[in-house]
Amino acid sequence: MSLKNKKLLFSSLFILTAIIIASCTLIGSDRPTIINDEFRIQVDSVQFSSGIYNFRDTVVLKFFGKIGSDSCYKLSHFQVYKEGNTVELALWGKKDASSGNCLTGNVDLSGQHYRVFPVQTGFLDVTIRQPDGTTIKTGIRIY
Amino acid sequence: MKKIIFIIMLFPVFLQAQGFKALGGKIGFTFIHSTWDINDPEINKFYPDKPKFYNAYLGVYGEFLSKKTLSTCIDLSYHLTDYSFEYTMYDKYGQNIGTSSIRNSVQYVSLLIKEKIRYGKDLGANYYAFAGPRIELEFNKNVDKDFSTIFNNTNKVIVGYTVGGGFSWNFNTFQLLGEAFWHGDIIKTYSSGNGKILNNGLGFIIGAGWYVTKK
Repeated sequence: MSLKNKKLLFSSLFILTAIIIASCTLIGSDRPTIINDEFRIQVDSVQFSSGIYNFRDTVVLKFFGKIGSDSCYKLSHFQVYKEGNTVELALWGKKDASSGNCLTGNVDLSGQHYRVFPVQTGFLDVTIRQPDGTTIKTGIRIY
Repeated sequence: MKKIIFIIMLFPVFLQAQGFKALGGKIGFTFIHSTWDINDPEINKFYPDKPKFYNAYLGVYGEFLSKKTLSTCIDLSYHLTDYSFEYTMYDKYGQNIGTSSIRNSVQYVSLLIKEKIRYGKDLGANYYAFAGPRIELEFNKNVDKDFSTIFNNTNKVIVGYTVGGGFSWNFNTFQLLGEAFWHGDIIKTYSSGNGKILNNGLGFIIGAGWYVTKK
């Protein structure tokens, strides 16, 4: 192999390895895991609407906590698992800045609710999954 | 990162070897999904369906110790595996309002050493088959909390094999190539009492490189 060819070879090698390392960095750890830029909301507390619940009543869960730090944040949807009288929830928020007019100031859940329909008497177990992997567990007696 | 640099530094050693034939870049994808056989109750609650897999490869290749029909090849690639989990979204009344997805990604450096048997002239079309061992080193991952019990316990080193075939079109100083391959994993990506993940896959690669013709 001639010296000129060797130089060409090593130049090519250098460029290609640089591309690989750059790709590792660019495609790597900074990519969000959540598609559509949605996020789980940290719930501070959960309350049941007042009253004694009977079988086939609607149980209303009210949530409290901060969604975001400006007016473009909002509650997006619930992620739900239901099995008998066990309910597990995660609350998802979303930032919609399409209007370009996001006013500074916290946006809270302020008692936004989710409705549960118990399918049997006994204890209704409710678990809230938090963004950090911990959970809030609560419940109420269904008569 | 030290492992990556070490592997890259091995390349010049091979380049000095007799019978150097080609060096270039490749990009590839797998389109047959891998095995997700996990029965974790905590994951299954929100994500009852299996994930969609996505594998991408970007790398360099070298062909050495070249004889008339046989040569030894090395592929060094950055390998990204994405696991995308779909879940159902509900409104405050418990009504289904559509689906969304959560993506987990694991990144590897993949080293494949393969023997290649080819048919064709030095210039023009060449057809070939290849097989060889492959080792993948995990160096980074981006994992959602709901899946941490699985992805935080994946194997950092995966040993497998690759078999395949392809064609190259060789010009005086460069070549274009296309390959189809099967990646089989001998060491599983994940294995426990909850099940297993295997990253087997059928895929294709296109590439271009610098090519040495016979003098």
